Amino acid sequence: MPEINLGALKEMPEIRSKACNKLYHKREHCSTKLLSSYKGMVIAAIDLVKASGSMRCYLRDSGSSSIIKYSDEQEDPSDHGDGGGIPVFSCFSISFFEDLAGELVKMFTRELSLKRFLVMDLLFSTSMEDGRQEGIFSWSDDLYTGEFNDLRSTGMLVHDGFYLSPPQIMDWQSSDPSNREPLISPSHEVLQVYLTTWLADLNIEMNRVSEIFSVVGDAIGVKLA
Amino acid sequence: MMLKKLQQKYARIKDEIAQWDELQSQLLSQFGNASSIIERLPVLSEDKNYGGLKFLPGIKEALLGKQMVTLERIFFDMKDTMKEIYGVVLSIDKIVQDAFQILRGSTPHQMHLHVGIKPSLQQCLDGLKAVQAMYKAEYLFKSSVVSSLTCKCSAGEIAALRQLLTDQPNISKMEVQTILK
Repeated sequence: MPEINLGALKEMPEIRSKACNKLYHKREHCSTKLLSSYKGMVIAAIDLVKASGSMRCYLRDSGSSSIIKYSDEQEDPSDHGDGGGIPVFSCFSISFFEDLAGELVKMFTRELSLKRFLVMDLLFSTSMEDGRQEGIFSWSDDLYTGEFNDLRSTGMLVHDGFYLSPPQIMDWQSSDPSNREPLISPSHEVLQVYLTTWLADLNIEMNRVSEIFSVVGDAIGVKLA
Repeated sequence: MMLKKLQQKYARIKDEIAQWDELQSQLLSQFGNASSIIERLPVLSEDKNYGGLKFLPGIKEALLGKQMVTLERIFFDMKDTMKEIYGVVLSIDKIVQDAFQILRGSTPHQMHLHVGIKPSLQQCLDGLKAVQAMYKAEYLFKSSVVSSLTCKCSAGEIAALRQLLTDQPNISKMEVQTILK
């Protein structure tokens, strides 16, 4: 803003500072929105993981009653909840469906982790520009209160649930985010790369996703996509 | 009687042109999407533009790969749109042929007869032929513009191509409007 040529407008008192203020508020607002989008994604991932893990159905001890009862929780360690691996619906077993779901979970949690990194960098960069020192600096800090509690159920926390596994691109090696170069006053090009990365969903192979849905849809006789 | 029939042909031509305009805006938006990817590629190919993302192995390869896949899909969609536009050209051809059929038995006198302020049959036919020629030429022109768009185009070339695609130089809207009246 300070460098922009305002032409005739520069005669107006305080126009520069007013415009700066406005942009500043706008950026605040957008940062909040970015964070809440991320939060929405975390919640979606939690639901995804929950759904993928709740396919099995266990027999419940029904005592002397002749009615057979079922439960989501395992009571008898010898009961695997998958009907002994028999095909459900048409020809696939529960574990086959679980593997497909697991594949989806892996793609989406990896993508979530990558997006988390982008959010973290952008928030860090704006807080640096505001001259604020608080803000998020480390991969192992909550982006919002309670984030790690949320992430726990997605299986993204490793080492006894205290450490968030680092971001990763597909099956490439991951590396420690604390070695990264901090994002300070990023250029237009850098922001473009960040935006493209956000939009590209690098870890989600759309072809594979639709393949999975069509395989599952065919097997259970429901059109899923 | 004949004039009435030709008027119906004009009505059908109008529908085809409306269809063309729709496909034209679809093509333009596809072109826009393709060109923003093409213009982004050089930015994505430079390590220095990755900022903090540099520490992530594979990011550049994955990002470029994904963009290329998207680009190819858009190229494919554009080809589809061009095929549909060609369909419009064929329909216009058919309409004009039908008009010829209708007028086959007419004498030169009938063809040039004016009734009141209404145009002669010959004028109507010429109008249809003019529209047919414009849209056919524009189709050929468009397909060469579309095939000139590759990932090696510079921003300037892309802007020029976009302008050509938007302008539709072979179609004079004014002329079409007057003919259709």
